[in-house]
Amino acid sequence: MSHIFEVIYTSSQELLQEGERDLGVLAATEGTPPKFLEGISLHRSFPTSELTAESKGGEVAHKFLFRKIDGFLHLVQVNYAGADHTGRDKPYSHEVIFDQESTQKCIAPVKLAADYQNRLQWCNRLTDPKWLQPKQLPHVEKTSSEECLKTAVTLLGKDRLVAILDVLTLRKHDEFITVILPIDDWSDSIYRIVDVVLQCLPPHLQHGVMAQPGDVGSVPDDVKLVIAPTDSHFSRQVKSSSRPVIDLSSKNHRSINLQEPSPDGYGHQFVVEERLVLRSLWEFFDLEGVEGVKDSKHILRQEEVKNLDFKQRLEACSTSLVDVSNKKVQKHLGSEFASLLQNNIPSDCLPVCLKAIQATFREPEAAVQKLLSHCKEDLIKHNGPLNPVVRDALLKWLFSNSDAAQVPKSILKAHFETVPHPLREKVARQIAPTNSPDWITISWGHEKTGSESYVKRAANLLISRVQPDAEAVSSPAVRRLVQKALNTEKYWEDSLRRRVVTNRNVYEFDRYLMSFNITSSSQKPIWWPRGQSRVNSSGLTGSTFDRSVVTTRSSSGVSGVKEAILSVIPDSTLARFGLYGILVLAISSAVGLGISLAFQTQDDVANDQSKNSSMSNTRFELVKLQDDVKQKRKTLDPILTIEDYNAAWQFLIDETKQNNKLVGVVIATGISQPPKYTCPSLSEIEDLINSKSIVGFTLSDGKLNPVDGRHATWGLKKKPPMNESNQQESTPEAKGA
Amino acid sequence: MPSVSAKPAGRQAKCPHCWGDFFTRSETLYVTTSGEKVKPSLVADWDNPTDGSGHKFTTRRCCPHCNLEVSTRLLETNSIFISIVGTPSSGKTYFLASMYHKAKSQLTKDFHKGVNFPGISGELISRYFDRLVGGGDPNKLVDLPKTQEGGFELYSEIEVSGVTQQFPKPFTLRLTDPTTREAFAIVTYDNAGESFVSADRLSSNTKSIDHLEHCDMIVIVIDPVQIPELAAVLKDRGVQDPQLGKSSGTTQDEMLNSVLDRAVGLRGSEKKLLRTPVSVVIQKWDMLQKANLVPDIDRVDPSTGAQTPLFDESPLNVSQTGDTYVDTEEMRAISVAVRDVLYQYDPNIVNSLQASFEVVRYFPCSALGSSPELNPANNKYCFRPKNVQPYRVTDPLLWLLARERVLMPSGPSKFSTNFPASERLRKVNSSQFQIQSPYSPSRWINIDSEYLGLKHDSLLPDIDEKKWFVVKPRKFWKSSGQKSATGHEIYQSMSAEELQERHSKILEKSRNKKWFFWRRGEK
Repeated sequence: MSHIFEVIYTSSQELLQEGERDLGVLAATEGTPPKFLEGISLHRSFPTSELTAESKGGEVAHKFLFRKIDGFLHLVQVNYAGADHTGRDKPYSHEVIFDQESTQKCIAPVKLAADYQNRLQWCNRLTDPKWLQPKQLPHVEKTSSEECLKTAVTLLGKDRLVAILDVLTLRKHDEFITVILPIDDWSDSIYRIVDVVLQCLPPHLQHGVMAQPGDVGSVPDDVKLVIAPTDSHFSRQVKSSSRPVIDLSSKNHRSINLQEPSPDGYGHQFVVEERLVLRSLWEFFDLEGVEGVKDSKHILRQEEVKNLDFKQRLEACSTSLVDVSNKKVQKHLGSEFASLLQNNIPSDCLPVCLKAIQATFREPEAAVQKLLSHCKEDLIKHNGPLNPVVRDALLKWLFSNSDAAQVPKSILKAHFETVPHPLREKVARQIAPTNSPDWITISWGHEKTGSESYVKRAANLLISRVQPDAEAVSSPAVRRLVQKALNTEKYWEDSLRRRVVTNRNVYEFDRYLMSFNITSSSQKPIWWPRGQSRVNSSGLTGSTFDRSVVTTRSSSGVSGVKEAILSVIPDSTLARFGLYGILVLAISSAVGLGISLAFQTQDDVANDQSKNSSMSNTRFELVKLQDDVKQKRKTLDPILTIEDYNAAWQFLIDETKQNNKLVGVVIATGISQPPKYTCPSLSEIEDLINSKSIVGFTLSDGKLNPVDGRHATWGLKKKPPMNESNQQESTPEAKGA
Repeated sequence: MPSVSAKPAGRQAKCPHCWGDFFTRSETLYVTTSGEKVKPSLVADWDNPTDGSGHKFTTRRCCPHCNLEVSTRLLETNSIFISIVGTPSSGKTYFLASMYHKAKSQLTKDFHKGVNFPGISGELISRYFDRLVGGGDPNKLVDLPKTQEGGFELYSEIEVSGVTQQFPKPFTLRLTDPTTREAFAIVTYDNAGESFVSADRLSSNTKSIDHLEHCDMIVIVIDPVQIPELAAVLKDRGVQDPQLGKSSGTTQDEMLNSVLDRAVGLRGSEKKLLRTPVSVVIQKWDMLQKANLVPDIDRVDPSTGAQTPLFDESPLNVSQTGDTYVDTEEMRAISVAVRDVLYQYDPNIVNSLQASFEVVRYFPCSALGSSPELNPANNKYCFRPKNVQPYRVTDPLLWLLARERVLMPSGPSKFSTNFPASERLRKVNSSQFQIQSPYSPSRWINIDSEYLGLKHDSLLPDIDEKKWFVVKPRKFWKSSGQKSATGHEIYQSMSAEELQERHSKILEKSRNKKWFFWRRGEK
């Protein structure tokens, strides 16, 4: 059941709600929803800018609004009714609200609204609170488009009508047209103009009009046609601006700032081209705004090509189908398109058809398959370049049907870049299966797929496959794959997999990783065994370690470092940590000089001499230290800074404690300078040395002397008294420096 | 090659339309020559900023929340928001127009500030000003139109996710200090009284009085004519005013409670409302003066012997250095006197406010300074510009500005000599006190913590005795260890010697204490 509600809002001593007074609802139709009675609406007020202290009720031009708010059409007329019971201005607002159902039922809301005009006059006389009786919907005859157009053109002229219809249909933000009317015939003129203009539009667009004397203030966004009287504040203001104005106040109608209408716009097509069917089309498809203009153009185009040949119809329909946004129009064109697809499609129409199918069909695969099934053989054999849309669709379909297996891999690889992105992983897996023995191929597959599952498979390879050849090792792509595989944490969380690795000879695995320049602990996976307890001792006997592979590198010029260290460190320890990048810090705090030493294997030298892998090993460690401490990279310098020294100490202690693992060998000389460094406490150092976690040396006469933990003189408290000459003697590297 | 740079965030501002917070540079929408509003994040090149279609930026800026235009100068200014509350026809619009009109002259002439009304406020306020002066004809009958609950003149309509919401347009006064170049803005709103009467029933889409959630001060306009007891007294005493005797619907205390409900609802709790300062403006004070209901008491300047009535024309004074200052001491004294008058006729308003707010000041005011005339042509209440003599209409504004240290408040009282000082004080709650009059031990006067939070003595009147007494600042008060019958803690004032002795003790104690901030090397 449709509803039309009336609300009268004014200032009164008594209102409809008992106990209320002043501004409020005086009368309303029985059954009016409370939200229309409670809410304070902007349109219930009267513009006060034109009022003076002498203004009398009924003498001031009224305000008129025809808006759609929250889905309800509101027809509002607000009169100035003089002074109220408090001796101040009194607005008298009569509001007619059409609900959505009644809007749909009535053929033209504006005709219905015009019927209420007489009632508005009657309501002005109502002064006591009252519930109004519901009113029957009046019978309204539909006016034909031809009739509407004729009347409107006669009243306004073609150009002006086009402009008004355009702005009312396009509904662009902050755009409206102002029509200036003479004040003498204000009320009748408004209805005349609104009636003829709005009737040219489909019913659902028959709103967005405001007629107001005086200052309008800010025009609401949905109001597209503002009617103002001559010489009002607003009309003066708008005339001096760049907004379009139609001045109907004089005999010679004048247009200001009216722009050339778009030939695709509603106004031009309805008025100039006289496509009178447009009004019905807009109504039927519920078209609105800029999208409506575009959609209506496509519908009209469809009507035009109906009598043309199949190819043109197909092209027009497919193009429109992709472009339209209204669902009803899409459905309409979709059914037309589906009927066209029943025929054989010429190959040059394929791209546009495929686009249309992909854009509009809910399950486009079936339709594409059906379309391509007619011409699949031709397309595969096609020598020249295929249209990208057709090629993509074809590939997608082929892969979905496992037909791609028929295509040679070399061809697929060569054209890989043309494969649509969603399909690439599948194609890449076909070209480079993870069980391939070729490292280069697998790394290519990894690069192209970028998928996690692929990397997991590659991680398996890392464990079980053969050693990579020289080409694979030097390939950056392979290195990236290995690095990625090591860091696939979720994969390694599986304890079974970890056991596979740890049960293998760790040393062997280390060498394996060394092939890829992965030597520092920071690069290795976090689960990699770091302590004795986690290492299978059976694979770590001294016999597996060849001392001859170890060389040392010293920047201090101290000789015999290697021999001295090796003589102290037992074989078992070297086997455990030998190639892990032992950091040697030789500290002579007298001059703040540090010597960085690192072990390197002969393999390192052979494989990567130019990069000086031993130094880079050391750098890894120090960079890690610095990152931890300072969060910035710093190239290793032979002279250690205080921060490096402190950080190194901290690192040694932390690592040793946490992992129960030897990471460093500390060489120290007598410390003669006043304390500059944050040394660990004596007890801490002694503990470390006693537990053989750190091996200590002192440096005297250019030779390293191992320090027994029990008699170590670490730290500051037990330093021997030294004079200046002693100090220089005991720190020969200082001289060198 | 165009330089791509991120826009710095800028300062945080509050939109005067929707009260949404945003950063002035990184979030403000820029209006292009085509009228589009562009987000700063979408601008690729700030050296040559355009929207996607090549339209250049204008100087206009919009709030990112409501898309309404905000004056560019206002974006760079600290703003305080004032809510003006009152029943229908209590004189809110007249008060607002008259306050801004008078404030403009006071701030420019007396305080040497620059004043302007940025954005749409200029248009709104000038319309009111034009009406007030009657187009230059002092004899012409003029009026300000009744503020309606809606209308595009005073409200902006915004569609938020398909629902239409209405926000009041701001009336902004921006003042600048020519010496420091600092700026400060005051934002108020003109609402229909009906919106406050039904404040607790307004729909959530009506944001017309939601400034109550964000305001820094609430001004409550009280119309004495709408207090039936007071109106009867005025009539009995022969006051001629056409508004007297008209029956009123909703009483002002009902309106006040409705507003408080809404404000508490908006802010979430009573506690959040508590700290907002409140100015209660008793309108049409000229009628009370005519009826001899104003308890006047003179102030005597001890240096010159000059007598000035407490309820004189202006709250401004000039210091010995020639600087104009806001006589906040006088305002405090007046507040006590005005509150007494209001309490006599409508105690519920006073009690409700005291229960809901920490700081409440009462101001006498007359926006027009005379009674309106009934226009026989249309039965409207009008007035003639020649009769317009606003009385203390800017007091609430000046008080707030002095409180915010934008204007200079009064320093040590020059009137406080030769008056006895109050010696007893009782603490009612964390912010409210009652001070005992030295003239009558049974008379306790309500004051708030700001009366005591001063560095100097100040004067308060004992209205019954028509005498002044001195209120010592907080440091002079010590707990007496006693409690009143109602359980309130009683404080005793100290003499200067006692205070000195107390200070010496504290100093000695602090000297004996070991401090740890000696400089390195010192002992």
